Order: sequence, then C-alpha cells, then structure tokens
Amino acid sequence: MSLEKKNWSILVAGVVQSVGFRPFIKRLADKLGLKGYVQNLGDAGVKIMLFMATKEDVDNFVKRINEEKPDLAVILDIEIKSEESSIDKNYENRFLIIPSEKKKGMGDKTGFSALPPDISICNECIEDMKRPGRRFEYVFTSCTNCGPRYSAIIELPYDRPNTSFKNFPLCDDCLEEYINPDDRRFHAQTTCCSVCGPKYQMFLWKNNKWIKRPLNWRFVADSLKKGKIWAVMGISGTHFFLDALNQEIVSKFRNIRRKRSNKPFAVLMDSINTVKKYCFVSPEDEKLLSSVRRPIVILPVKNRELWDPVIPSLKSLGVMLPYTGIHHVLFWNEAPKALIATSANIPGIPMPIHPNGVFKVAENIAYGVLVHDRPIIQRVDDSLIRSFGKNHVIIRRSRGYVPQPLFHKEFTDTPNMLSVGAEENNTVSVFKNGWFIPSQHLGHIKNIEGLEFEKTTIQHLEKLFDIKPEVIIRDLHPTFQSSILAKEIAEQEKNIEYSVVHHVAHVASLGLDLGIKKEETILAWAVDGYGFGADGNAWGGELIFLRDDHWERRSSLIPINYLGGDLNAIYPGRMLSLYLLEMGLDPNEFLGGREEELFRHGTLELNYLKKAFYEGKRDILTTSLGRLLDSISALLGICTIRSYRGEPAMALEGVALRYEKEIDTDIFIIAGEDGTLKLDNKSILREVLEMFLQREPVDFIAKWTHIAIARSMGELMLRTERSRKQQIDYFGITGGVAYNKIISLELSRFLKEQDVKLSFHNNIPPGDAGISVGQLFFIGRVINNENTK
Amino acid sequence: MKIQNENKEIVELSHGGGGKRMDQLIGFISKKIGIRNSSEDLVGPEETDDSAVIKIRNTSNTLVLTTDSHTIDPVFFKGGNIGDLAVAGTINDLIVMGAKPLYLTLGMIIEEGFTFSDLGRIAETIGNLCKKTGVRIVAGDTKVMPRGMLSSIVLNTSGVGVLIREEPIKDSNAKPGDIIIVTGTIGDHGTSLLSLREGLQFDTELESDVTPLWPALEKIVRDPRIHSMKDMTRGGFASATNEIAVKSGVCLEINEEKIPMRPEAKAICEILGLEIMEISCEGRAIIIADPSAEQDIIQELRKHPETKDARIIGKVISEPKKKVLIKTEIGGKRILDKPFGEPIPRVC
Repeated sequence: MSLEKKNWSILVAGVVQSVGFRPFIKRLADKLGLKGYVQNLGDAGVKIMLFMATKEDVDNFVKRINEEKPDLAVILDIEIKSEESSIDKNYENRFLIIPSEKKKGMGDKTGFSALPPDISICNECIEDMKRPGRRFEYVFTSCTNCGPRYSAIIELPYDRPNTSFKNFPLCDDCLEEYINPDDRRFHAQTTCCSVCGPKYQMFLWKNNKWIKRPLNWRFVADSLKKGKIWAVMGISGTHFFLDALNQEIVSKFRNIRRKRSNKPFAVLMDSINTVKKYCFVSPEDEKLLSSVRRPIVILPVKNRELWDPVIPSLKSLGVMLPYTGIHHVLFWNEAPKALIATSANIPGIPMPIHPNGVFKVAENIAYGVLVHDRPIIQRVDDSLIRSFGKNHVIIRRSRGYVPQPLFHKEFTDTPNMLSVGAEENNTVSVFKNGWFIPSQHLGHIKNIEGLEFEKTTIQHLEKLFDIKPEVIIRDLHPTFQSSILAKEIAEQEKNIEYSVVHHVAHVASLGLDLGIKKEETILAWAVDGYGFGADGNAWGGELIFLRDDHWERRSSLIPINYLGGDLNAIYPGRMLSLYLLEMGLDPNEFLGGREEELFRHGTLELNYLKKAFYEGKRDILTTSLGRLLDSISALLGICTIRSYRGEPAMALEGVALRYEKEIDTDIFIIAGEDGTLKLDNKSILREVLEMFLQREPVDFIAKWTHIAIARSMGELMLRTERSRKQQIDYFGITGGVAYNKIISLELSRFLKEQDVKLSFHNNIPPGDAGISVGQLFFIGRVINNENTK
Repeated sequence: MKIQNENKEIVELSHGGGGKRMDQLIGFISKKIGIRNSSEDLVGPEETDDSAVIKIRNTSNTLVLTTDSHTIDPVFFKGGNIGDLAVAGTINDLIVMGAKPLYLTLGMIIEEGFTFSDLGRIAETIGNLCKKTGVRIVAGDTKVMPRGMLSSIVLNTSGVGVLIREEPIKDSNAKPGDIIIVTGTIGDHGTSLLSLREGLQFDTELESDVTPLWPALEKIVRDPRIHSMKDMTRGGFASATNEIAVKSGVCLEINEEKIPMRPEAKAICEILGLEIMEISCEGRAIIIADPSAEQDIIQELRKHPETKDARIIGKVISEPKKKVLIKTEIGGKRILDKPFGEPIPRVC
C-alpha cells in the first residue's frame, strides 16, 4: 500500500522558527519533486502539507529533514498524518511557503516553537561587505543563517513585521533576493542593505554637546588608535570601545568609569591569530570563540604585565571575536587589534538600548558615539565563558544562547511556571510543556532600573512564548527584590507561590543541566559567597544530596560567626577576624599594624568586633566557602576591599595560578558538633596562618589553599557516599565557586583517582544566573509528585 | 518546598523592631480584638496613623488621641532618659497629625529596687518638658512589680490634643509634585544607644535626638499646604517613608547625599553592620508639602534648635507606586524597603 498516493500533513515541533527552516523545507521538497506547502504556525511549530505523495516519499522526506536540517534547528517531534482531503489547485504542481498563522499547540504537548539566539555574522555576509555594491561596508548585512534574532523579535511567528525591521520595508533589490528560493537571503527576515536598511550616525562631544558628523569608519578607527573612547550602540546593547593595550588610557577609563573598582574588562580582538598571540588557546577554546554564538571566553594570558590595567591582579583575560558587521568594518579600517569592549552602563543600571540612553551614558566619558535607528527589542549582554582548557563553564548565558530552551521529558504535563531567581547576576526563567527557558543576564536587580528590566523581561518572555504561569517560584530569601516581586505577582495573578532554598536551586540547576532522571541521585557541592539557608543562616559551602524532590544537607563547612553580615563580604578583613576569634586567637596579635588596611574604621572597628564576639553576640553563622577564600585573600594582603563581586577570591586564585608546580596537601575533615563530618575550614586557615607567619611565598600559600580545599571537598564526598552505602549517580559542583579553575580541576582529579567522575555544568551557569532555572526544575518535581498523589 | 508565612508560636523580639514583622504582630492583635473605624472618625484606628482623630458629635473640637509605651534600656542615656521619650514620643505623635498637644496621662510600672533618686530625675525631666511645651499631665497610675519581674521601669503616656487645622495631616495625603523635608539628622537616637551598649568609646557629642517638636512645628502644622507628616521612631527613616509611600500610593524619590546624617552616627552603623536609615529617631519628622511652601517651611524650621538642620531631600512622583527610591551618587535608584526585622545579609 505504500505506493498509494495520499495527502499528508507533517507537524514539526522544536526549535524550528527563524533558523531558515521553511526555505530549507522548500528547497528539499523541490529537490525531491514533492508538491504542497510549508507554513509557520507560531506556537504549534511548522506544518508541511504534501499532496499526492506515497508513504515512501514521506518517509524519505522526513529522513532527510532530520539529516540535513539547519545547524540551529532542534527537532523534538515530527507528527505525520495522512489525510483524505482533495488536492488544492494551488499546489498541484509546486511547493510553496505560505503565510504564517499563529496557532496554539494543537493538542500536542510538545508543540512549542522556540526561536534561536542572536547569531554572529557569517563568512558569506562578511564577504558581501567587502564587495562593491549596496552592501559594501554595510554593517547590518545578514542572511537566513545569521543576524540579530532574539534581540530584534517583538513576537512570534518570526516574520519581518514582527521584528524591529518592520520599520525598514525592502527595496526592490532586497525583495528580489527575498523571494528567490535559490538566494541565501530567501525569506531572510532580517535582510536589508544601505538603500533600505537601518543606518548608523556618528556624533562627537564638543563644547558639552553631541555634534553630528558624517559617518566615517576610518575616522573612528584612527581615533581609537589615538586612544579615544567610543560608545557604540550594537545589535543588543551598547559598548565602550578603546585601545586595550594603551595602558594609560585604560587606567584613565577605569578611574572615570568604575571609580576604584578593579573589575576586569572584556576585549574584542580582530582575529583568532591575535588571540593566540596574547593568550593560551586550546582547540576547544578556538572552537568556542569561533562558534556562531561568539561568547567572551576567559583565557590565560601570556604576559601579565601587558594586561594588568585591563585585568588587575588576575591572570586571565576575557576575549571575544567580532560578531557583527561593525566590528569587522572597524578592524578593516585598521582599528587597534585589541579593543576593550565593555558594557556601557552606569554601574547598577542595565546598559542603554535607546540612542538617548547612549548619549547620556557617554557624556563626559566618550569622545564619540555611534548610534543607529533599528530599535533593540531586548537588551542582551555578551555571554561570558571561562575556559578550563578542555571544559568550559558558562558564567553569563546571554547573547548567542538565549532564548534557547532546555527540554526534559519528565515535565511535559507540569503546569506553566515562572521563577524569578535571586538578586545578583540574576536571570528569570519560564516553563511550558517540558521546556525550560532561562532569560538573558539581568544583572543586579536591587536598583529600580534592574527591577524594571526583570519585570519587562518576564512580560516579554510570557508574551513571546504564550505562557501564562500558574505557579511563581522565588528564592527563600525574604527581602530580595525578586522575592518581593514574586509575592506581588502571586497576589495580583492569584498564582501559587513557592520558595526554594538557594543552594538546593543550585544543585537542581545542575540536575537539569545533566538531564538527570527522576530516580537518579546527585551529590553536589554548592559553593559560593552567600545564600539564605534553610535555617536562616548564611550558607555557601554545602554538600547537598538530591533525589527527585527530596534533598538533604549532608555536610558543610564549620559554621563561623557572621556578625555584621554583608560587611564581611565587602571587607574580608572582618571575616578574617571572625575566623581568628572562632579559632580562639586574638586578631590583634596577627593583624596588629594592619588595622587601617583591613578595616574601614581601623582599630575601633576591630575592637568592637572582639568585644561583641566575646560577649557572645551570635546572630547568624556562615558556612560559606567564598568567605573562607576571601579571608585568606585578606590575610595574604592580596585583596582587602571588595570592589566587584567575587574579587577577593578571584584575586586569590589569580595569585595561586602563578605557582605552577604541583602541591601535595593533607585532607581537612573533622566531626562537627552535630556528629556529622564537616570540612575543617578552621584547620585550613590555621595552616595558612602558620605558613604566612613563616613567610612562605604568597603564591605558594594561595595555591596550597585551593588544593587543600579541593581535596577535602572530594574526600568528604566519598566518605558521605560510603557511610550511607548509597548509590550516587552523579557527583557535582555548583555555585559561584565552581568558576574557580584550580578547585574544580583539583576536585575532579582527586575523585578520578578513586574512579569517580565529577560532573560540571555545561549549559547552565553554576552561579546565581542558574538559580531561576534550578528553581523551576525543583518545584516542577514537587508539583509532579503532588499531582500524582 | 512550600514555605508557610509566619506560623511560629511565640512572639519574638523582632516583632517589636518597627518593621514588617511588627506590622504582622499589630495585624494579628487588631484582628483578634476586632478593631474598627467608626463614622465619627476623621482618622480611625484602622489607618494606623500616628494618632486617631475623632470628631465627637455635638462638640466643636476635634480630638486627637494617641498612646505610647517605653521600655528602654538603659533608662538614662546620653542626651536624655526614659522620661524624655515618654513625653516627646507621645506629643510628637499628636503634632504630626495636625494637633496642638494639651494633656497627657502617665502610667508607670516600676521594678522593686529602683532608686528614688533615679525616679526623681525622671519625674523632673517629665515636668520640665511639660512646662516647655505647655502640656499638662492630668491623670496617672503607678504600679510596682517584684524585683526581676520587670526591667527597671516601664512608662506609658496617652496624649490628647485638638486639631488646629481644617483637615488632619494624614500619611495617605502625599501627592506627586510634593517636596519631602526631613527636620534633622537621622538615626541619632538608636545609634547613640547602640554605641553605648556596644562600648564604642567615641570622643563625640553623638547623643539621642529625643525632643518634643512643639512649639517648633506649631506654625507649620497650621499650614494647609502640608500634606503628610510622620515622626520617625522605630524603624527610622526607612519605615516612615515607606508608610507614606504605601498609604498615599505614590513614590518617594530621595537624593541620598541630601539626607542629613552625623558622620559619627554613620561610622558607628558601618562598624556595627547596620543600615542607618532603619535606625530609630525620637525627635525627627518627615514633612511632605506642596512645593509652594518650600521657603516658608525651611525658614520656620531653621528658627528652632530642634529643627535647625532641616533639609529638602527629595520629591514625590507618581511611579513606581508605593516605593521609596534613593538616588545614589553614581546614578541608579536604589529601592529602600521597609525594614523586615533583623538585618539579613544579601551579598553573595
């Protein structure tokens, strides 16, 4: 019966929007001589109708779809049905792309069409920009395979009128390309040229005003060479550009921009060769740098002194390769080959995405400003990835990744959910039908501007993916802005509100990242600076066991008095003093003479701390690994004031990386007051103190610290497993300290010696950016279990 | 893990801290008692304003009533004693509603062993303040409790005043466009007490700011251009500003560098890890007024020693509703929440 000709409907679900899927289908159908049409159905995916085809035709067609689909397409499900309808005269002899129809999921649970992230400019488009003609040095050049997507899409289905290109009707030449099935720009929704497309304008700061000047790329490139700073509006945000190797101008820029902050800047380099000139690049690094996602990759530098103003005290530099036309054009016009490309935002406020915001932020800083007239619909920061050589850890999952979802089939029946994350480096996530969709980087949301960004992103994602959440999930912390927002939304929308313990959300995010199954177990260290613990204490060094929706805190560091709370994070000398006091030592003895260096209010503050401690003042305790690292950083004089998130610990690692020889250390585990084993942070600090007093080299001590911690973590994991005779399916590490290369790699190596594999994150950031999606995963399971009772 | 809200069984210290947890305690008690507004109320108890304002049928005066209890430790501190608090606290609660304070009742519960000398000092303090402000103590009560059953001495004062303007000054009357004024440096009282308790020896004059704001605020209170007023007590600046923002449904936008603070108070808070905007004051008010009243108000305030450091610190805008924003130096507007209870860390 397979020779019988029938009409067939084929429904394709997954990531099949804005990846050039329809043009691909048409080309394939034409090649195979099939008749019918393909149509974008919004949420329901893509529908293909084949008229008068045999079953064999259909099977072959579907096979080739799976084999030859575009790179960024993800096919989850193909539903094939034969239909007894009569043939439509329109498609008797041809195959067409017909206009889109927005339809909800047609009873098929996996019916969900995501859209791809912003894709970096392809080589063919770069070549187009080099050829004389209407795309010569036209920086908005794109095609079906590249260009802005998430940052330009207003709503689905992905069609030009639903993007910010709707303001730019196609000229005749572009239209001709658009309708020609053989052209690379066939149905390219973001296509344009110098005749019909968006344009840049150039302004210079003169006499306290922005004066318009004729756009001249060579002029911009030359002035960058001369050390001038430019504010450039890009495809999804705004950057400051300046010559990264001009040490004087970089220092000056740091003073104006960040006022005593040592936060490292990212660098845009013209080619992989330049990257290799300055950094150590593994084959995996190269692949990542050159991928269509074009993230910033943090790589070890060869010459630390050369880069010191860019990365104070650190040994690694964040580099990225050009991802949009304007980068290429500047480099062709001989701009410096390494440009600082840092987000142009007022600290604490998301970067501007409207020209007015760009002008404002660039006042008194930039020499010139480049703005364009294509509205940026969604602000998307560059993504940031740290290289561990072979593995990579995502720090910031944003441009080039978002809004790519993660799918887990256990959750296809779970109701729609929204999670609001934590507070620093935040993201939100939405959930529908088994699809988890994390948002782009939102930053710190304690300011109203950050909170607004969080709110509008929630609205945008819900609208884009047609998700009406029934459940809102937040961090357990009661006063995070996101927690307050969650309560407001829950009240307003009459949703049910859940909270998740911070470090449990971290482990859950690792679980989702690894795709663990319901009955599988994961034992992971959730290590960071701070998270609101289940007992109200300041957690941050927790060994957590998770199975389905059940979790246990198996171990942690020894709790230390956290008098003064956040002050201990900003002034690690305080944390150090609290550690010394807990160890029964007198801080004056070890820190005498350094009071002004370590304490904002010098001796007075130290004396108060001592007195309060001896009087038994003990509100909150901390088990944070981050704070232990901070304390040692302060002790060794590496960093005594935190000017950016994670600085004391990062600087400590920077120094530790200078010591390249292997070190052997003991393992520091102790039975805690409650009878369970703990990581003996106090003894580690005691050893460090001794080495410091004996004047061992600081880089040696720093490295020793990392190795001792990692080994102790590993040993605790193994003993926990053994003592319970329990099968652990996954051993993992999550939380912000998972960015620490030395600890992660040493822990991995230590476990490997015992034939145990350490699982790392690979799609989801281990830091707070991963909290929101972890919240979804955990509560998703809670709800699934509630519903099956 | 579904988290239930506040289902503990005992009252905790943080329930008395003046923040959101205290609101929960008050809400619980009010509900149990069944506290309700009535038709004769201009400002009833359900509005939880500084005082109640009641127009009794067939009388010409509108009564303003309030009560306050004091349990401070230490009883004698730099800048005053519990007597100062008892008088100033209650009088100020009447004034900021638009009333002239007239009468106080005084209830005293004294621990066995308390010296007559100390008691005398407190009584004299109370007497002096009454003379200064023209307020009379017309009724009282005393109790003595066995040693150890009470901490030194507890005072309660109830205050009665009369409205000296057309409408009471309510927390809910702030309007977009209004200016925000604070009558002096914030956080002095609480910080001064904490520094004493924590043994922070300072060669400074940092003392409690406790003082009645009468007659300093008399002229201002009569001015119809005053829309809202609040005296800042427990929960400090953060609590008072948030109450106004929420009850008025507006946004209070405040410039951080304009908020008057003593450097010593700021330093002590930094050492103790506290937020100065959440620390109690006992002689400071927030005034929200029509912008046309700006000059008149500041000039009047500067005439009196209790309010000489008054400053305009911001303005009322319409959005985002019910929020207090602090414009920082760097740029960006920080959200200032009502204090929760105990300070909770948040920095990772």
